[in-house]
Amino acid sequence: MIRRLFKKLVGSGDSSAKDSKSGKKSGASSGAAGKKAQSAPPKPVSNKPDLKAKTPEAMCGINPKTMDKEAIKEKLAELYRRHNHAAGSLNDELREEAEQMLDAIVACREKYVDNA
Amino acid sequence: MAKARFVGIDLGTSTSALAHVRPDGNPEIVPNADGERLTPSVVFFDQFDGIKLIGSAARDGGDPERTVHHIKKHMDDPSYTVNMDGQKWTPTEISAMILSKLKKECSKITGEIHDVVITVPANFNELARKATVTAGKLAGLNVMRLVNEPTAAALFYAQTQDISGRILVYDLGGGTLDITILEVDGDNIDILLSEGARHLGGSDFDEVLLEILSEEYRKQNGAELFSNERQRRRCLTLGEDAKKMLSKLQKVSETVGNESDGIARIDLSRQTFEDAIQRLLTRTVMLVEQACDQVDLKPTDIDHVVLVGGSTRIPRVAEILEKQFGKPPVSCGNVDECVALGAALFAQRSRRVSEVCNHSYGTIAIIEDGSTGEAVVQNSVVIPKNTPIPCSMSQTYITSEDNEELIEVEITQGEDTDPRYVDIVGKIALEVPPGRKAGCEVTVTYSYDENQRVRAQIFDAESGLKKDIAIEYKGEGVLSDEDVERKTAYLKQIKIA
Repeated sequence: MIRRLFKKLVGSGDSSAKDSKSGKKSGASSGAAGKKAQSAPPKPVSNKPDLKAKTPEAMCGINPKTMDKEAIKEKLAELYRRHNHAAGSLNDELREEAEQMLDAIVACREKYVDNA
Repeated sequence: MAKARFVGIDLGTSTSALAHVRPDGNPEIVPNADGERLTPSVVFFDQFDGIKLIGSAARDGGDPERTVHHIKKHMDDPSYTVNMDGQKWTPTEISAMILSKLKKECSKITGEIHDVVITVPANFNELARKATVTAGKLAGLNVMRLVNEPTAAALFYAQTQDISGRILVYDLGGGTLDITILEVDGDNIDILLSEGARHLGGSDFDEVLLEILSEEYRKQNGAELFSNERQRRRCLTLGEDAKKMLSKLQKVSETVGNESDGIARIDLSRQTFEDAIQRLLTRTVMLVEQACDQVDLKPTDIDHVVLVGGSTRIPRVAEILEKQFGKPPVSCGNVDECVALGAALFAQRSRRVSEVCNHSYGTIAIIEDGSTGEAVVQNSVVIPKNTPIPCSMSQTYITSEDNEELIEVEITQGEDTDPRYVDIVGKIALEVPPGRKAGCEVTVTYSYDENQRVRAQIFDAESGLKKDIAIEYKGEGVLSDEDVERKTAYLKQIKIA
């Protein structure tokens, strides 16, 4: 089992690499933070799409009743970025999943953004 | 024999081409021994004399079961092999055969060919890039540099059109779509970004057209259009021909069929075809938006939109881009040859081209949000995508537990924070002295060279120990260093025509 390295995000003040999702900068780490990580087991992020969902909207997490056109466009762009990359993954299963998701993303895009 | 200077090779999904720079400074395509400027990237395995037939003859004749098409689509698949007569061939070896034909036949015109630049899609990952360099080596070539296809095309366009400003290159080829945004200032070219989409190109459009033909045949004849690979391949070629005609005509008529269920005459319109591929074209629109968004550019910030690749001949492609940018895109002139021509120019003046890395590289780490105290396992990026190359960047982490004796770093490829959506492309393990508390500083450094190859280093501050590795891949479809030595000699003995 791999014991993960640890890093604490401390805001936007330092010059290390940008965290791609949160937009926060990764800061210098500290021993105290490391001990805190031991006491609070880390949660894995979970973004696995629901491929068994019956509609493209459900697969993409789009609710046209509560989301306006811009919000839908933004959500689809975020999903497109993730699954377009996954379509070139070394993992066969992930590639297949990505293709299904890209089809669903395009269906929602055409319905709620391009042809709305 | 004289040596060819400044040689570029476009090792394409559908066709390949070799170009060199003439003494007057202009690049030109060198035809193969069949007199063709573009060599179909198709290999036929002859069962009688063991000859490997490359090009048009392989594409147009022969048993489809013994013919390999679009091998480039599998260059990034570590487990993919082609089985022929009990022997397994990797995508690297098959690509090497195509390169061997170009080297052998074009050198009769240019003089001996040794040092070359080979083009790759901007979205090719590390494995595919490594495989391309290895294919060159197997073919007896010294691959000086890999260059991204849109970069090569932009270089050719900038030279022939004498332009400057911010250019978006839209390269829709046989197998992939690449978007590159660059700035041209005189002879200097700075790449700002490259984005790509896999399995989005002419061959995917051909499959859509085949579905249309099959459906129509079913309606007319009440039977399936094809029942084996030979028939399917024949119909696919007819569909491809119809696609090309529909780029110039509004309507065409195709006669398709098979021996058992007869023929059918099928009318196809450009509208039907373009509507059928619209879902794929929408993907291209989203990729263009993503590219502009990543460098904070609006469509009005782009001075020129340049079309590259045979699939940009489809009229709706230009229509969509005109709508998106508010101005018509321009063709780079020769959409099929400009990548090879640009690669030859790149061989001559690569020092004036500044490129960026096409993938993010990082490691899986426990990341704690300082404000909430919440800790999650994430992909932590060390080298962000689109960093100018060559580059070397570091991140410092700490060990998370007491008494760690082995520090393992997983090398990730991908920008997503979710570990599920990135590839683990390597691991480094460093043994450290026992009895340490958690919180020891460990610095992870990645270096990215001009060929987009990665090296990784891990440094433990407390012990002063460090270790570095180049990323290696394992799989049936990947050649080891020993395999490469052995296969280089073997490939020289193979008859290639």
